[in-house]
Amino acid sequence: MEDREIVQLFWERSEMAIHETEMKYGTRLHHLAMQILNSHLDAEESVNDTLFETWNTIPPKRPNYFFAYIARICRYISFGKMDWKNAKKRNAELVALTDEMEMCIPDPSSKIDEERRGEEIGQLINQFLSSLSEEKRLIFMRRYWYTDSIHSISERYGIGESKVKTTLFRTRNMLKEFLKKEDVTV
Amino acid sequence: MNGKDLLTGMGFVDEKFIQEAEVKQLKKARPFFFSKYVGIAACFMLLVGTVIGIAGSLRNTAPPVTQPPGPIEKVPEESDNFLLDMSSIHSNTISSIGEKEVWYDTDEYDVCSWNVADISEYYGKELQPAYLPEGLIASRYNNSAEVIYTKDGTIVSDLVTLGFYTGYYEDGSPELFEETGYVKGISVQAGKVGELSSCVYVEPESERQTTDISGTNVTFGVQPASETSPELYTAEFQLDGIRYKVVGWQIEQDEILKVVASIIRGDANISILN
Repeated sequence: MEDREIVQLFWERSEMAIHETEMKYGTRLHHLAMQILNSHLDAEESVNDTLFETWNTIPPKRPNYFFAYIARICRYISFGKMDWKNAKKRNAELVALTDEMEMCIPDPSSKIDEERRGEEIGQLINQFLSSLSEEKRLIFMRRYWYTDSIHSISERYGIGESKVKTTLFRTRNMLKEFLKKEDVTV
Repeated sequence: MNGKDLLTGMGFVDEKFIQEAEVKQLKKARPFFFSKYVGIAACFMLLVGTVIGIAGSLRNTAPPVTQPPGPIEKVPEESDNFLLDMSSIHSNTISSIGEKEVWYDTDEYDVCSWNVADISEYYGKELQPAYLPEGLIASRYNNSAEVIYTKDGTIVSDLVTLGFYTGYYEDGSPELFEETGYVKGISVQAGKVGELSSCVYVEPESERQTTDISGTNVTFGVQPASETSPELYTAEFQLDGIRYKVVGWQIEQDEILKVVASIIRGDANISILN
């Protein structure tokens, strides 16, 4: 079923909308949640919460990109469930990702910007992503949005792991420069 | 702000970027390596009998063709129907396929783009398989290959990758099936020198089985379908000094077999038993 048809089912308040969404995107959502939570049970719960939240928000919303819309909800919910204190034990890959992101911040020790809201950071990253080449943007998004492993990105795009690492390294440096220019920590 | 804030803040990026990263492929992605297949557990081996490619004449020999005077037009030869018994194919289990990436320093190497005529002249034949499953379309990238030379003119990589998929996005990358998130089609890689992509077999080399097709030993591989990925079939062989690798995504094994046999035999007249 086409995405717009599924969205229409949500608008019609048909429970088939949930079923069709789960059928079409359940596995991908579960995978995304698993990447973050590293627990099938928690991931399952995230997917269910995502479907529930989607049901509650469509209508009034009518997303242009349905998968992106529900994936974003799923990611948000999954990060909300994340036990950061025990992350090191539970999900080393996510901790590595956090460390990599830390490198992009011009001065991580600065406390001035700690109140910056997620949405504001999202806006900044939107600007940054728009300035990137398609290749860099796709690789960056797979790593830091979808939390894919280097190996997985390498296989997805048919490029070597070394190229993925190099691209990410350069893009992180570019982000650092960008945030510096945007006075993120000053 | 710390790394965690930035990572969670990523969640607020525009949906168009999220969608793009899910559906788009890199413009110059080489479809051969395009896959995100995950590793498989334990050993799985399909070991079924002995293969026999039975070449048999199923019809009477055509009468001799008298060439008319003037420019010679190639008349397709009436070829024998080649029979392959599916039940006698040796399949090995693969856990993944990947690229052996080699970087060439442009100070030491030159890259030259070959067109179809250059490729045919160099290899002495058309690399496109005589047989292709119905519904597959040739990639626009099939018309060229990037060949690497040393400064003194020696070729160090002559790999040619041909893709045949059900459809393509605007940028030329093969379309993904929404149900599976994978492409559907076949990729053929050929080369005399340079590194082809690698198939990672579960079985050690000493236990790997080959299948004889018209005198050519072919190593078939299969990656069984998993919860997250469809079945994947591969074939590796060497013919006339050219190494080939064929990979099929969401394509039946008998179709892969026909493609391989058509490359080896040079015609599309292949039939499958079973």
